[in-house]
Amino acid sequence: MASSEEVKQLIEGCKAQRSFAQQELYARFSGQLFATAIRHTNAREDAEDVLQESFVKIFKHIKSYRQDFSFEGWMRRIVVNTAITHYRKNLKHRHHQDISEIHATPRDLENHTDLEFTADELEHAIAQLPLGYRTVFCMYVIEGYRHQEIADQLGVDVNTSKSQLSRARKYLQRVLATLSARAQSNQSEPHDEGASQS
Amino acid sequence: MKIKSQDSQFDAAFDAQCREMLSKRSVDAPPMANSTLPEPRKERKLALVAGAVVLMGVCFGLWNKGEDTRSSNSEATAPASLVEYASESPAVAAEGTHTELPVAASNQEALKEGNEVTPENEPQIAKEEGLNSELTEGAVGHAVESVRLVPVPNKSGLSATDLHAEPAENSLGSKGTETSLFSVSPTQKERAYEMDNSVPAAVDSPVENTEPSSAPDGNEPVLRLPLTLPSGGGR
Repeated sequence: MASSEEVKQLIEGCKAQRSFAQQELYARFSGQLFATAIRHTNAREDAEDVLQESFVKIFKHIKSYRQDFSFEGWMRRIVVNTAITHYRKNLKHRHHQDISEIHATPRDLENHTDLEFTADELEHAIAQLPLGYRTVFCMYVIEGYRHQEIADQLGVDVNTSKSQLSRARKYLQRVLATLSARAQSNQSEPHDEGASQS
Repeated sequence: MKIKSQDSQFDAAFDAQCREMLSKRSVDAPPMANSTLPEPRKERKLALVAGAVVLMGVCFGLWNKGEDTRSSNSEATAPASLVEYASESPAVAAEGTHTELPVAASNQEALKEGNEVTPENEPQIAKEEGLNSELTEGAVGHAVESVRLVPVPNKSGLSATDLHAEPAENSLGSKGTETSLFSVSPTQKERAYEMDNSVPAAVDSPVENTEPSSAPDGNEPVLRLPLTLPSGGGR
């Protein structure tokens, strides 16, 4: 993890348009920003385009960055905005999908009492969300956007943002509960087999 | 990770857990493309300006060098060109001498002094009177702008001061006047000296003698330039 002093030096170097500082900044933060870009796009190729375009914006507008805000958060916002722009450009080519249409979640999984999941499982579950729901969920939950900001960015109503967030959250909880139940059953099966043999 | 869904804060806990898991998550990113790095505009502009300045300097140096060479060549060939220019003068060309008499200027000066020397009658007078004029080579080159034609009786024993002071009394038509002299201002005199010292023998001219005279009266130096005019007419 880069210390704050090193990050400040990198920022100053990037403001001076030093190539070494720009490459170092890319090497340090490209992984996190690429993960953010992947969550807001459908394909890895799109995420790569969003990442490159985001870094161009970062290097171009880094002089406008103020030190009193988180630099990582500032960069993630740029990535998210770039991904949203990318999403809007390709929106007309996509068929709108609703969660209820593509994922029929059993009712009994809504009564889950606890969830146990890993980061990879969560990433996998988020990747199954339709892009619109995924974007709203990531913007609100991970990036910390407000519903009004999401509505403004995506050009939708605030209630639409709220409803999509609620649906996305419920969907993820169901998927993760299913995974958790499967994992629990897998853990209990060897124990039961051993008890029956004895 | 275990989240209990027994209370109403289940969603908030779920969101917090998702944020914690994913906000620091990193994925192997592709290498940075060359187009990602913005072009340093200032450095590029500075390089362009510096290149332009250097190019202009080189061009100016070459041009200046060529100008020096041209001027040196023209200095070396100046008397010849002046001779050519002098040959165009009708007054002197008629006599076939290589002099560059500024006819119009000298005539105006002469008229101011009371002489009646004109481009038409000067060669005539010189021919009739058989004057022998001598003109120094160095003075020729600079006499275009400043030489005043002052008729002087060469063999009458009159001094140059008298001739210069009272040109009306020494008209060309008087007997005994055989040589016409030119009086030159000090600045032209200096130029004549310089010209005389710089290119003494580069010109094929009928100059026979160079004798810059000192100031006759001590106040105003006058250069006596004897102009040799062939008595027979033509070369």
